[in-house]
Amino acid sequence: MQAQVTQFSELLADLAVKDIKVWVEGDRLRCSAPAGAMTAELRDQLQGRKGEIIAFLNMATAAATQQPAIIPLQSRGTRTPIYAVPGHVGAPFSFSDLSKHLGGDQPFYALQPPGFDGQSEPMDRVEDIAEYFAGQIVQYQPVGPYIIAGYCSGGPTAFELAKILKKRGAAVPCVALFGPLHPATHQELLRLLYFSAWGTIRSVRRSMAKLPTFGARLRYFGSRLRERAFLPLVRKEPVTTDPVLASRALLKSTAMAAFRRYTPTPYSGRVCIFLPNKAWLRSGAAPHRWRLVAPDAEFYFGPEDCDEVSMLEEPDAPAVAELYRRATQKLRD
Amino acid sequence: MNEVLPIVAESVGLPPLQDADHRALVVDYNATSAHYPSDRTIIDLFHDQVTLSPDAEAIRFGDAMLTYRQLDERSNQMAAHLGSQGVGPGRIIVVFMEHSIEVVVAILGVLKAGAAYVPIDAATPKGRIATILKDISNGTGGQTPVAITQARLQSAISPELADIFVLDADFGSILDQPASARPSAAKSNGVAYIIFTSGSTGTPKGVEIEHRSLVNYIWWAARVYSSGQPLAWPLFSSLAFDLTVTTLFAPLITGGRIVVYLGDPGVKNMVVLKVVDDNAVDIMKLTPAHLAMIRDRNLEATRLRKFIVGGEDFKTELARDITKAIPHPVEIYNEYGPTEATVGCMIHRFEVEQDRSASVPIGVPAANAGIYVLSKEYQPTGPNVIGEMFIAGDGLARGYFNRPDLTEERFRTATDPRDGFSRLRLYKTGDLARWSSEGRLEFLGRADHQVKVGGTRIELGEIEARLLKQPHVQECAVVAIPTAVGNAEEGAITRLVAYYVSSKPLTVAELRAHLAEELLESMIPAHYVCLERMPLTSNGKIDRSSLPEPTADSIQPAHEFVAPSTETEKTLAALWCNLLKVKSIGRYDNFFDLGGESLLVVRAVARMRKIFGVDVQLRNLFERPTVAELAEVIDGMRWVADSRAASLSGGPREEIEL
Repeated sequence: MQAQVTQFSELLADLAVKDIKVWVEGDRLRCSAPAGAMTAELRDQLQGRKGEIIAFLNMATAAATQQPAIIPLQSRGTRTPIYAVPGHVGAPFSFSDLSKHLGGDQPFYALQPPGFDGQSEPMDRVEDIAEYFAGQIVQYQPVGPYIIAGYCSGGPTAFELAKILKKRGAAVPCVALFGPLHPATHQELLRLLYFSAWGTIRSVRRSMAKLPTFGARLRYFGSRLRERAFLPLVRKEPVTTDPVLASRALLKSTAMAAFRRYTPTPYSGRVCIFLPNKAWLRSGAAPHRWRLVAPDAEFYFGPEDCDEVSMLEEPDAPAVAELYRRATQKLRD
Repeated sequence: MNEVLPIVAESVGLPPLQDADHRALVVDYNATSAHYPSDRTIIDLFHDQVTLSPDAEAIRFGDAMLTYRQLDERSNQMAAHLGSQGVGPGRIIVVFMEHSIEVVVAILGVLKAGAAYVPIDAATPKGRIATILKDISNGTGGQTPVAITQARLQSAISPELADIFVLDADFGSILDQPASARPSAAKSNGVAYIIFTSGSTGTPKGVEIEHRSLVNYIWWAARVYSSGQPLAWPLFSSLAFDLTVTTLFAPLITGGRIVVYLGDPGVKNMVVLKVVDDNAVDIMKLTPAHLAMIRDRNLEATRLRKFIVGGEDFKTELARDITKAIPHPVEIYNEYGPTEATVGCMIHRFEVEQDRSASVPIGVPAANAGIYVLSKEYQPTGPNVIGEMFIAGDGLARGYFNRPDLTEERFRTATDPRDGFSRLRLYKTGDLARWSSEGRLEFLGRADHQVKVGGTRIELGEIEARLLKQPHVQECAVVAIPTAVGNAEEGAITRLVAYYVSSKPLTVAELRAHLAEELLESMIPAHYVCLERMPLTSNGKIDRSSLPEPTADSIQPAHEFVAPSTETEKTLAALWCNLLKVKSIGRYDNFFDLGGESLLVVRAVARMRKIFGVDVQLRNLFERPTVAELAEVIDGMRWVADSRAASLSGGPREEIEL
């Protein structure tokens, strides 16, 4: 195999040096060469490897014209494919553990938002991001059904994306929102403060519960208080000259701005909301508000000790995958 | 905000333990109640044996030997001497000596005086000895501890930290003491010994074992291992390792003989070979690593007929090899137990026909011991669920010397898992285990060997347990090694490295395929290093801190290494090497297997675009993650782009169909 690839690459290099261009038209292989460059020997060689050259050029064309937003975490399987919108940092990897636990028969595509690749511009409206994703999905898989998923602040984008696809006649059997934040969380200052405080208290309590003695808990609590006392009220993002980090920071702030200005409107399809645990209902993330636009939304709860911040990661990913399987049981083929 | 929402599904939690499983795995399994003389001390039991066989040989070192009567008298003298120095119940005496007859005399003397002994290995660094002595002083109200040592070791102890008694030089002062027996000052609820083990913070912690716990263990061990026969036991392993407690006391209460061996400096682990070659003992207690060392010895004429193996995972293949190598029937026991539960609290006798799995089981609880696998909420776990192992019973230590916080952390009183309402004192071992579907307890290594790799929490013990199930892997250790990359935000890539010793050459593909049968992809080590033998601590356990740094030479290539061949492959491999801080990358190496994740992926894509001038996407990397695959895509993209560009030469062209 190695020898074959090397020879093929030498052949390509040889053609490039001679300024010979080769392209595919349908099932035909065409060639343009400076007069006299195409010797009979070279012509025979190219004709002898016609199939190989066509396959290579088709692969290359497909790679060059693919949909950059579609990141295949698991592209095989017979179940309805999941297209998932990540949280505000846009990392497609956040679904890796969940995808693994959903198994080899569940196609799973993470959606990469514009701006994540460091060269495109991030979008500042949820509706625009959803429209972009809808275009990419339909180009990649022209016909449904699609399951649309969203995590954390990616929930509203997923919700909007499902509406767009449905409006265009595509089958969307389910919108699966994992620990979704309702935009209200960031639109109302009091709610945001409550949400932040709730998360901090949960995190402190969880850490303290792991400590063995009352003294150790007291010391930990003291250290957290001191940390908090020295934190500025408004956290500024550090200035960076690193282009990757700079584009990441821009994506984050633009995504949060989009999230804040979005107002969900009614959707008639099936919506399943997976919350890390029952306590999340009191978190300030306003999960119940989704019922104002999706009255039949179903709620599923993870185990009590599920960590809200990392509900899609190990060790909670298996439990969340199990919840998803239960919820979508009736959709199975 | 707190309105009630319809709940469609119940919470997903750990599957509850079914009644039948609860009875089998929690109640019946722990029905271990057995009689032992709980009101007596180890000295009382030794004295009984002195009365029974006063003239039998109790201990031998080369040509020197003592009978039971002589050992009793000599230790009486030692106790009397210590008594004259004010040593009595509640005192703690450090025994810092090489293996010798005198060290056994000293230990018995300390116990008879009613004090507790603290064994310190002769190879212990001065700094650690000082830490232990200071800890003892702090824990006894500033009292200077007594240290018994030998002339050649004396310089390792600072005279400001201990009252030093040099046993060999000052032996005359003992001989002046009365040899007759005085009533032992030891009490069954007094501390017999304190063994200092490594602490996670780097400070050694002393485990206090009472006479009652020691008697419970030795009484059980004597019956299981000696079965009423006086056996010869070799004293060769470190006295500071609680595995040696069996060798020290089991012979002395069963009429057996201790045969003392002293390791040569620098080659301490080789003393085990000396024991075998000397052929003067019937039974041996040792670690699997030590047992592996004697596997290739000629054992045809050995008198050894019993082995007690403990301290680490014990491979069935090793047990099988030993069984085959010895012509007469041998008994091989796997004994499990932390120092905090007095030497051993679980036992399994190896059966060559029945034990077919890769590791010898750790078996069932010893007499008066309880073993529980519990969840974070202290609930018994069901089959196939990983939990932490907790130990209950009469073997539990009093606690950690001078460390009430740590004692409170590790020794908990919780609801008795058997009945769900009474209270039970439990030791939190920090060891992970699970019940198999067949009701067998599987040991999965240390809970504190949990690391985070690529955002996923991973139990190294689970990987090791699986790797050891590969029939040819004899020993292994998996460690997580961080490598700094990029800037502070990215921090480091943590890669799992598997070190192993195997009976035949294994390819990485074989190892990976074996691991992948049961483990998640994120748990499969990135690198594999085959070692001739594992580095061992003085206790004969795998010394993780001495595992060699993985280097380009020592790392077994994931595939047969095929160097990048085309220009694009070479450039791509160099780019990845730079980004992932890896020395060499072959054509078939996978970006994600090498530790590529998160921001590194974005960086890789950005650099590839810049260097190759084509629009490489994240997706390309996910779909074609090896050097060869991605280079082919890049070549293709460049070719397509070139084909669309205007031709370079301005002359006439011809267009043909091929």
